[in-house]
Amino acid sequence: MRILFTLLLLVMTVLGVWTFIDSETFLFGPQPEGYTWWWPAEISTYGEDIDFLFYLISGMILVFFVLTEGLLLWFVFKYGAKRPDKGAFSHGNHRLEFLWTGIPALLLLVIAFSQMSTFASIKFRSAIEDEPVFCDIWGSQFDWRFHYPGADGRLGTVDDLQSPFELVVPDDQKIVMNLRSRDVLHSFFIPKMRLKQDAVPGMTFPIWFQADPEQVALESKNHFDIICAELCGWGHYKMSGRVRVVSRSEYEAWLEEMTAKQFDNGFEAD
Amino acid sequence: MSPSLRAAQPGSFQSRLALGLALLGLASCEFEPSVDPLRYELNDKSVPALRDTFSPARSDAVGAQVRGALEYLFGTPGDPAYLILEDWYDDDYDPNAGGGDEIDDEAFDEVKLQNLQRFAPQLELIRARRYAEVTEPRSAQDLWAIWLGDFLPALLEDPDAAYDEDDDSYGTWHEEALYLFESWYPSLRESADLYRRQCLHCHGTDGGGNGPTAEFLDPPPRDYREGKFKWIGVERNTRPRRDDLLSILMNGATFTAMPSFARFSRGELEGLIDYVRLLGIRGEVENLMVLEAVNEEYLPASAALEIYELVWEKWDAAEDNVVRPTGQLPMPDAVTDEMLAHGKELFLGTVANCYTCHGVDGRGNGDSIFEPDEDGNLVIRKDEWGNDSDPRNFHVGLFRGGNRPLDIYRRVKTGISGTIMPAADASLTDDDIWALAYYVLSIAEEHDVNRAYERRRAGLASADHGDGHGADTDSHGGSEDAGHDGDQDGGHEGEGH
Repeated sequence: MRILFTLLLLVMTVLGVWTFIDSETFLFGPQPEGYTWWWPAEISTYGEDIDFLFYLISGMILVFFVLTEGLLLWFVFKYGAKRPDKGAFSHGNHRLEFLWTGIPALLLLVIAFSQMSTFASIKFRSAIEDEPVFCDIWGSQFDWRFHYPGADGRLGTVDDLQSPFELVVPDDQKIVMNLRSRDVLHSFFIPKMRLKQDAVPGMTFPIWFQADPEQVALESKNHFDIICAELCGWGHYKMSGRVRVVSRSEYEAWLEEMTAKQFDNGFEAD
Repeated sequence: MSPSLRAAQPGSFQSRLALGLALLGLASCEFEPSVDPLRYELNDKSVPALRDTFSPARSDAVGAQVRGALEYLFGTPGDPAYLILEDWYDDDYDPNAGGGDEIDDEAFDEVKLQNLQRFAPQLELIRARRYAEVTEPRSAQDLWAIWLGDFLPALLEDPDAAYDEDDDSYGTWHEEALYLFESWYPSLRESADLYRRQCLHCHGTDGGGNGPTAEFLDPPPRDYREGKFKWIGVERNTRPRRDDLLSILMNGATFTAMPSFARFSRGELEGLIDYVRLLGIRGEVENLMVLEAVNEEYLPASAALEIYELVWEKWDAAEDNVVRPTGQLPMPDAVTDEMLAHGKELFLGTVANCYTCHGVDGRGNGDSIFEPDEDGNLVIRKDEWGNDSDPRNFHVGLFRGGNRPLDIYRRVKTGISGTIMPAADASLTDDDIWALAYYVLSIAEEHDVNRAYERRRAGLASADHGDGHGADTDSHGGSEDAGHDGDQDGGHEGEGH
């Protein structure tokens, strides 16, 4: 039994560390192009900041994971057997307690201060106060829909354009969007842009990202997955979308096409 | 003896674990998929209809006859194929071939264009002449069989040999291999496979809207077997065009469980349309055959083919039934207050009669959705599928069949198939209907409670907020609205000025 549990913990530790070291293939061999077990390369202006925080925190976790798992393994192996004698009683050690409270507290402070400006610049409303709203996002079981302001530049009017599934954005501006849910909790997630925000029924979350044209140019395609990252019901798995990053002129051409479709007079078969 | 080698005692950790696992196993056994994805069943109306008419043994025999006829005409889910009529041979028309026969050139060009993306990994390997490494694409097993059977052996031998030595119009095997993938159009079998993966769990094996997940859904999924589809651009209760089905696949139906399937390539979507059409035609043929059997007390051999032709004609006539407005669509910036007032007048009038179901203020709470049952109690009227009628609440601005003025025009003009929404009175002109459409759209604009945030923002950011549309807020809301939306509307009016 002792050996079994020790082995189990050892396997968990090794697998856990393996995901860090060998994330591209991880056990299953090479993945199709564009898919890995790790983050895909980021392509947004704030992606680098998010990645920095991610690696910082993941690194910390990796160190402590190996440390605690190693200790656990050692203790299970060394002291796992039943012994006839009574265990020694200890009142604890003040110095030790001071250390294991103080060090994590300091590390938490490091995390807290290093994320502050990034969080503020991405999540605070003040970051986008003066920006016009680019579009509305509606999540509902089980799809994403994007509402663009029509010719009058205002959302919520009769000339709004609706694009189900596909979010088309120009690469030269901040894309500010109002995120909403019609029914249950969803989470709007564009992995490539490092943007993730829960959608809560009855609430409006302004969110934003800006594509970095130079990084987009490095990609083999110009459209990227949008997914729902909050289990929202039985059809959660099929709640997907696509963000397509295009130049300003292509975007305007697309808008024109959408407008023509929206105000089709039906004289010809549509 | 170490503890681990002792036999599990009742109440010990091991025995509880074993019990837990056993219970879990039992619980999972309870789930049995209620449908067989590879077998068409007689539908839930046919069986009782036959039972009511015939003795049990005879009803089974007639049922088997109907099933046999259907299989002869449409094949099985694993291998669906239409029976080719004699006329079609003469006209060189083959609905099983798909592609060129069913869709126009423009659509086929789009299919080819999107095939380049869909088969990008395969095409890249073929271009690099690494034929042996090409992997099987999803839901294209017929294509794959051709590749493995004909192309791969020939390519491995000599890719530059002529594909057909007697015909110069073909290129080399290498060129034809590229063309094979680029010009792919799904066979019915491949489309049925995709249908089973993506659609069956709601719409069912035979398109009856009775898949395993259907019971969780409100509104329930469409039953194709009547051939009645709601969100169409053709006359009420007639069969949809390919464009109608494509539109619902691309756009989904807002706020129902029907999502957009835009992530699939055009070829795959056209294939799904082919298969949904097959299921629709098959379902209607089944209904009519059972009706014939019940009326004639047997199923005449000639009836099956006659019914088959009749239903095909209905589906082929779709293009002739398109609802085309004749009056010019006004653009939103040309919509005047007079036009909206005219729309409102019609909405509340007795000719268009909208308010009786949709409510005076458009909340979908009119009295006419109720009717007395046998005991004189008021119950909600049902649609033809037996579901409660649910007139649209315009205050949330959700239109399942699309929010374009043209979509709303069509809903008003011809009504909605299978529901209590009737076609518009013939005395209404196109201008009247456009006015109604814009009035309906404007209700959501004024009252959607979800838009308070934009209103606040707009109120702060722009001085011209409230012009035009804001001016007629009071004209149709009435005091009841103020009570319901008081916070939202009051807030934005207050901040805007």
